[in-house]
Formats: sequence, structure tokens, C-alpha cells
Amino acid sequence: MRVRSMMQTQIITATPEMSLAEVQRLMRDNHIRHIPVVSGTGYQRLVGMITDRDIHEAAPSPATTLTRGEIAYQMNTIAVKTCMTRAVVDIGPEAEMVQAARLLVQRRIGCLPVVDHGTLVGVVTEMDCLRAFLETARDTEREEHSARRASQRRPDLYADVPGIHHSHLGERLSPPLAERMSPQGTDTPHSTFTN
Amino acid sequence: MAEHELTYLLEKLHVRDMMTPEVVTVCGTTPLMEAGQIFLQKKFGCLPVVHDNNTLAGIITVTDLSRASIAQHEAGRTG
Repeated sequence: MRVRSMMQTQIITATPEMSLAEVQRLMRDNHIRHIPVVSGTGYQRLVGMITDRDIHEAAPSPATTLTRGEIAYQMNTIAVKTCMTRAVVDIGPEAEMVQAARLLVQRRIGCLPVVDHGTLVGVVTEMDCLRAFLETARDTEREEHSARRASQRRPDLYADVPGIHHSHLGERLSPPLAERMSPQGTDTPHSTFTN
Repeated sequence: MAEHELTYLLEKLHVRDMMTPEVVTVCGTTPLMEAGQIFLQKKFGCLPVVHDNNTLAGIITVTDLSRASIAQHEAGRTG
């Protein structure tokens, strides 16, 4: 499954010149924690990422002696470019979702921007990876089921095939998950799965 | 608010004051895919795993599922 088919394309973006107060508002209104920072007119060139944590770290501590007005002034004057992450890990739209999952887990990031020829085209989060994983598993289960039924009708045709689970991506499922998904095993004549 | 005031207020609070008391749980025998559906539907990042008598057995996170899918993919490539 490709990144292009699972990424979110309705993305909220910020510019490097935006204030932290504005970005904070965008995050709160849209219930998001990561915003890609783009620049350029006509196309969206990715220049950084800003997260709720970046803002939290830049903001005065709750125990500050600053007055409410002073805090607001500070948040309104600090620009995104001063506290965004510039060295951003990104991925291309034609990459596989498992690669996106690997980057998210290994780099411990919550949101991966999708960049095509220098232009931001989407974002993927761990939830999108989970959706891809569940969809692939469901497709595989269906195909496995129909393959199993076919092999029961014509066992002679499938005699040489050691495991008849092929996903639609042409990849073979390894035994552990295949077993978990078909708890009765492939030898069971009747399956509880129905299409 | 001064620092000592904030510290004073935080010291008066306990976990039970802030926790979510009504918890969605899974058990060790819940299919991984079912836990995945709960994460997506409820937008949770973490679920407690309980024994039959409702005592805590562990926790499972979205990242655990990501790791499972990556491991699965890798096993499928070499197997």
C-alpha cells in the first residue's frame, strides 16, 4: 500500500513568519499537534515542522513572573522560524506505508510530511499507518479465504503451494500473523470467515 | 503565579484527580486487529490490557501495533 493512497491531503500549514500565538490557535482549532511550515508562492515548499512541544518549550513557564499581557506579547512576537525543526524527515508519495511506519517509529516522530518534487502534498501519522495495516490485513484475509476455498475445490491444483496466502501486493504473509488471522489453520475444511 | 504557588497547587493534586476513570480495556486474547479498530474509532493512543479478573496485565500502544506491522512486513520479505 502506497503513501499516496493513505496520506491526509487536507493539510493545515504555517509560514515561517507566523507568530507562535497564531500557530497555537491553528493547533487548538483543528485538534492537531504538528504543522508543516511552508514557504514560497504558488507552491508549498517544506521548510520545517512546528509541534505543540516546540511551542510549549518556547512559551514562558506556568510559573513565570510575566503578566498575562507580557506573555501574550511574547507569543505574538516570536516567529515560527525561530523554534521550528528545520532538518525534517519526509517521505515520497510513492513509498510504501510500511516505510512511513518505520520512519515514525524509529525517529520517534508523530507526523511525517509527504513531499513530491520539493512540494508538500500531504502528511501521514501513525494512525494512517494503522489504517493501512488493518486494511491490508483485511484484504489479505479475504483473499486467503477465497484461495482456501479454491484449494478445497481443486486440491490437486494447489498441491505444490506451501502456503496459499498471498496479499494483493504479491507479498507472502509470514506464518505468525497468518496463523493469528486464521486461527483454525489452513487445513481446517470449514472456515468461520465469510465474505 | 509564582513558582512556589504552582508547586503548592500541584502537590495538592493526585493522579485520581486527573485520570480517566471509565476505561476501555482489552485482554491478552483480544485479536490485535480488534485493538487496532479501537485505536482508530476512539482515537486512543494507548489501551490497558487486563486479566479475566480485571487486574492489569500490561498496556498496548499504537506504536506497538506499528512495530508489529513492520515486523510482519519484514518477516514476509525474508520468509
